[in-house]
Amino acid sequence: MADRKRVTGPEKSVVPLLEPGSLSAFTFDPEKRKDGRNIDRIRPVFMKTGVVRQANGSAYLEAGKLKVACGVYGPRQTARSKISSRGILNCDFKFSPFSGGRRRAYIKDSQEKEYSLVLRQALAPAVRLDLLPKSTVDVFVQVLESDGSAACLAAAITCAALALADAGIEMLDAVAACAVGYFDSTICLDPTDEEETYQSGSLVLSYMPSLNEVTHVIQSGEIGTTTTIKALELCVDACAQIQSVMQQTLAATIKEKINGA
Amino acid sequence: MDDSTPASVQNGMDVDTPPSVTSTPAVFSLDSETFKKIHPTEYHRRFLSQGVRPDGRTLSRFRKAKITVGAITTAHGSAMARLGETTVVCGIKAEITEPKTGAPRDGFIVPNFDLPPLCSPQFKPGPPSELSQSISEYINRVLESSKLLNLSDLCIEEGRAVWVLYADIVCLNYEGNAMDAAMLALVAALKHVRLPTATFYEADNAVRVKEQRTIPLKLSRTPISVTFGVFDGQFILADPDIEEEPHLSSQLTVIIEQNGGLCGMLKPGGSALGQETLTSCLEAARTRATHILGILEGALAER
Amino acid sequence: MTQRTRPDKRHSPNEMRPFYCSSALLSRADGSVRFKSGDSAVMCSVFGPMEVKLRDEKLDKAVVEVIFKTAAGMTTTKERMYERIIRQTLEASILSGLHPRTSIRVTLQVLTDDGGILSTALNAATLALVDAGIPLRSLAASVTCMIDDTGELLLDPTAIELERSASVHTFAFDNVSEGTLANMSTGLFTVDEYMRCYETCRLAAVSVQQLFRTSSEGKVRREYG
Repeated sequence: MADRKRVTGPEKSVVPLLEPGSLSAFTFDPEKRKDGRNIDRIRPVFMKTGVVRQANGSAYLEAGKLKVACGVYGPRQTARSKISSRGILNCDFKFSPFSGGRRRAYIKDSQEKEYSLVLRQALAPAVRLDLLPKSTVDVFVQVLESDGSAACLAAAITCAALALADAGIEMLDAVAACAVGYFDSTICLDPTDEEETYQSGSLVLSYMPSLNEVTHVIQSGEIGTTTTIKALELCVDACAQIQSVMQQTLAATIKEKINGA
Repeated sequence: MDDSTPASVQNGMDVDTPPSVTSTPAVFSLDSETFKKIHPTEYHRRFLSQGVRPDGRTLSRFRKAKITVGAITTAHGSAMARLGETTVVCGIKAEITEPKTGAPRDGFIVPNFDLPPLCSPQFKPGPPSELSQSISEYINRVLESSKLLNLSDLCIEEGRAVWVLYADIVCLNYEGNAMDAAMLALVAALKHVRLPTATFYEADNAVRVKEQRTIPLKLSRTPISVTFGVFDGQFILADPDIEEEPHLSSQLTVIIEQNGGLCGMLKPGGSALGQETLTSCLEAARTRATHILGILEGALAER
Repeated sequence: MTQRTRPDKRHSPNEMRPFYCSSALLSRADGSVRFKSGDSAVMCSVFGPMEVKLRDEKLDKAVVEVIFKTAAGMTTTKERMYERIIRQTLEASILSGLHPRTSIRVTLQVLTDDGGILSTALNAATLALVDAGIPLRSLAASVTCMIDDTGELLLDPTAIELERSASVHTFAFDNVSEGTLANMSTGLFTVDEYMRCYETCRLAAVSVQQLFRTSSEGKVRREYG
């Protein structure tokens, strides 16, 4: 169905195939990952807050090639029909059209709708919504470049939590999230897009390190329980690392505000 | 940015009283933040009558422009443009499609400008606003009618396969004057595009490409967009920002290229603008375009 | 300037197509007009001042809404751009301060499109507002012209002539202000060409204003004897 509210191009277009000879043969080797990481290392992550000045809070996260931006608006008044004594958390996840291998349409597809739901499920337990009656907090995540869909979701959750903190929304803890890919018996942290094509399953964990509590777990694939437990432990460690970067970023923002203003 | 302009407001909002004269009896006086909230048009008027704008700029001063190319590696070409705080990212993705039967050698370029709810509290999730749709459409018109790209350059196999370039421009922070930022990001991204060599294989009716992206696009010109706002039908403000935009009586966008030729003029209604004003705007646009072109060259050289 | 016959038998590049308008065609609308310029025809209906949705309400003025529909019925980004231009042009003419917290809805339906449809629509909208009795500060008249690939200026081009255009210019002028109310120019053109188009359209707009006048006079005469 053509999107009549946008400039439309031809009805159908495809991503071209690569020439057989020029394919840089990629075989997945857990010992030697393409970017030189060990299987239990996450990509070095860069975070920044206050990137969207119009928003109440915002954050930008970069992990390798992955780039995610998030803006938080709120608390703002809820529409009359939905007033409740607890605040409402609205999450919106969107891939930019140029963010992946295939151009994405502007209309949300099922993956984006699912990720929006996961975002809300992962963040809502941490946000003190009971302190925001009759209010709505809107979280908008825009993925600029994606490198691994599970890693992208994890990055979005982390970025959103950072933006919520930047907006001054009271939370129990800043949620950090990380992703893991299962490759038969090997578990690899933070798989990239290329690595993802070889995985047999994935797991995304959203975790509150200070409270040692999990807000959300989503796993796909047929995995044994011991492997899952190992993966969860790996993720917990990684999330702690991620949260320390979040805290450093927030501290730096506050220092800037105190010194600069 | 010091806005400690005293604002004594008399009953009835006497517009003619110059701000420096305190008329008696002053019934009550307001601090500038409150005044800005309750009577924003008058707030701007007070500044403009002194030849300055609330953010400290003079009327003819544009905001600082910054361009970076190549941030998005999944795209065939990308650029981020900042105009003051207004930030937009343009990513161009090239895919393969069949050409139209009437133009078997012509490829396609599909520009779209999006103002997601992320960039400003005035945009809600859902279908695109009138502003983003009209900017998308005008950019599309300008690209087409100025023949920026020779569409037959995008031909892979006549009648069978051509490139389609999806140029998606996403605004990350909207602080006024989206049109200029969008055009700038688009042109920078187009100049940054590198397409891989593509061959059409009759045997399996498919196109295969080499891995390296080496072929640049040939742009016939470099159009730069320069927008002015008109306040009260008399003050011409260069590069209106988000505070000024809702109170403008009119806007004027000039799309000018490096030789001084024009690729577009858009004045979407509002208060009237005379010929002398149009001429002076065109002059100012020319100067600004030269400046922007310099910044663009610099950014592309850094890639 | 070469004198050659244009595709629609006009002799001068400076000649406008014959235009007509008929009003009060729709019994339910507050104002309605069908404006025909050559083979381009637009029907416009105006409802207002009428009740406005609370979220769109403006406390000190009337809200002007414009809906632009093509002959085929499908609206795309093109129609949205036209809506924006027409709305902002009409907002400058309508004395919206006289009807706060109301809305004025202008619906334009393209019947046939033979070039210059934005101008035809804008003219139809102005006349429909007069027909509806909406208080106006001025009357906006719009004219389109083009510069073809030989550099010749053609006024009020038809669709066939537009195929050979190097640039197309639409202007709107009113009868009280100095200067143009609205302008959309696309293509490749120089500043001189632009100013030439501006002047030509300004002079041509006077004849459109004439039509507005005769039409309004005729209406008053019919209604009040």
